[in-house]
Amino acid sequence: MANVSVENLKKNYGLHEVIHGIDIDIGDREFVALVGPSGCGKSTLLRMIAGLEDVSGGTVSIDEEVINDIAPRDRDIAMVFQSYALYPHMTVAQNMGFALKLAKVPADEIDARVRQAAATLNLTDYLERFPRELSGGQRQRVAMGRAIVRRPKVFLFDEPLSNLDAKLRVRMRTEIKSLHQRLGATSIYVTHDQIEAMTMADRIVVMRGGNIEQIGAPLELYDAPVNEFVATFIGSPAINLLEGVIDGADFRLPDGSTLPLPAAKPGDNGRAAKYGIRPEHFAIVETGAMTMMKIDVVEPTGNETILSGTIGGQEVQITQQQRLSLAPGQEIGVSLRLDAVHLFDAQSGQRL
Amino acid sequence: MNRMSWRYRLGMNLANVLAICFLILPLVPVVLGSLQSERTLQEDVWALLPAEYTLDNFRLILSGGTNKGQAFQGIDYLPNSVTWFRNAFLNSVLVASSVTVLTLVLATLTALTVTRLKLRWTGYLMNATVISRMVPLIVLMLPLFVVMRQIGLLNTLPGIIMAEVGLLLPYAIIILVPYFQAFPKELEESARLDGCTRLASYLRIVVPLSTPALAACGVIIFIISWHELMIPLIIASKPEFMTLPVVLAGLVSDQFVFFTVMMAICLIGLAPTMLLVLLLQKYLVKGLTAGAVKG
Ligand SMILES: Nc1ncnc2c1ncn2[C@@H]1O[C@H](COP(=O)(O)OP(=O)(O)OP(=O)(O)O)[C@@H](O)[C@H]1O
Ligand SMILES: [Mg+2]
Repeated sequence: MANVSVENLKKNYGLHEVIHGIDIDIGDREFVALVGPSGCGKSTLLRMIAGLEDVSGGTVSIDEEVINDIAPRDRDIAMVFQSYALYPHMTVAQNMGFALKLAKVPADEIDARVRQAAATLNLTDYLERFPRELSGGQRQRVAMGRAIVRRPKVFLFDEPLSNLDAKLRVRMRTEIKSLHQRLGATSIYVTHDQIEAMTMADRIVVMRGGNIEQIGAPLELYDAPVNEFVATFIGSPAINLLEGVIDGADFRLPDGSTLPLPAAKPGDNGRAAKYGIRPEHFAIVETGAMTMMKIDVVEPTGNETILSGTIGGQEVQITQQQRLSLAPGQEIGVSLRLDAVHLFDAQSGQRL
Repeated sequence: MNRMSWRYRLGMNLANVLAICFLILPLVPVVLGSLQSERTLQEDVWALLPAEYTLDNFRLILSGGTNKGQAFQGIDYLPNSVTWFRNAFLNSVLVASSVTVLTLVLATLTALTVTRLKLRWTGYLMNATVISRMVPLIVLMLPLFVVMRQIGLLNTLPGIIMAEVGLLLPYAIIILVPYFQAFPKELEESARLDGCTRLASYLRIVVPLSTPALAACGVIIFIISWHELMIPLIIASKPEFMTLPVVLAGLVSDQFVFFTVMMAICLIGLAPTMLLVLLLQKYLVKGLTAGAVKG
């Protein structure tokens, strides 16, 4: 089996460096998601691991062996592309068997393995069709099938679900995850959909501008983001960030109102900061309110209600599990779960 | 677009017919001319249709001058070109097909290098290739002759083939580069991860999917090579190495001009290119419009 590690990896296009020396260690059988905003270098990193892009500095290794100069075909890596990249002139069966044929696997074994993979992916009826005769979802499955028949050391996925409709995406998400649990191959999965990353991955790597911001288990990133960027990137609706200054045991908003600080946070009096709290860590209370929130919009989604409004003149969103009858313009008292509050430096965005 | 008005359609069809007539019309006198004897042609040059039809011209040409038929009964002198016609035709087939195959192979490899390998000099080399094509061919004739004599390829078919490949390669490269540039690179990348070398991924994925472009390019090269006069004229001075256009040119400059024979030769000479175009029509339409519309 395989562990993949990347050390001080750099990539430049001409004089322009797009990946600035990153380190990741991916364990055997681990499912790692790479997330980050568009253009942060996720695809570039993945393609360097695959060998499709030259490495400008640092190393990529599989099982402790440096593979910088090994051709893609000798890396034993399978990749699922966003565009699926099915060979248009081959049938589904030929597409799936192509790698095995190149590897000179006997024809009857190719056939058996293709059939087995097709059965897993519900593609048995389509084996003789050409890619142009398939729906988007079926093509996606063929792309997956092409990867799994090979039984490679490592699977790479570059936004494989982004061309599917929302419903199918959720179903394929579950399917890929159960496939991974069954096959247990090391997988690296690029997505810009944080829900996909949260639900599927053992660990998430958050990237920005060619650097890694944080690596950790999904809930670790959710509960303990190292900076403002990670905090806002993970979670939907996004974490609320209120600007203000630390004032003793309180956090003072520009309009003069205060929010309580968690007891554990150090004083750092007068420091400009952001007060981060996730939407679900608010409670609506009759008495003992910590602050008042003015409601602007009420959005019931069925299982929860999203309330948008302002605290001390700054926008916040909170979610509530119970069904509420609130009207826009109303003021409600809220209390906060103080142990879930994060403070971020106003300048650097680092967590205090 | 929704339904076109009948006026618009009529106009379009008229324009089409005009364009086709413009291209086809010159062929009519050639066909008519080839079907009569020199005598009937000269008797009344203004006659629209020949007084009597004969296949003697074709018989004469295809038999290499031995079967004179009625039309050429009394004529002892036959130009070299008629006696060597069959040989020239074979030479032309040989030259044009080798040139087409060689040029396609070399141009495909070059176009792939230019579009795929990020080597520093490919851009400059590509420009040099394009610019070198801007030099008028006639300027190159003397050096070509000297070089060919030096390497002993004068009066050989390989000499002609080599020179023509050199002439046509830039065209083919210029046609193929944009096509390969537009080719989705994920397909090749996927093939490379599946176990192909770069070359194998071209041969197994890119080339089979590029048949329209290759067919279009191939036909263009074949036609140009088939019609090429200057190069074989310079390189081959012996009749056994002449190609069709050289033979045709010889007909004009000879002591006697046999118009009807010339027209018959023209028609036979046209046949292979027409045949090729008809055979590859399906691909040609796709290939010549490739890139114009996103599929
Ligand atoms: N061939 C190239 N030449 C120059 N710059 C490139 C090239 N390919 C990518 N880049 C740059 O590298 C950076 C990272 O690109 P990359 O495709 O890895 O982003 P990404 O994280 O995958 O984004 P997305 O989510 O939009 O797919 C971008 O700023 C991009 O402009
Ligand atoms: Mg990308």
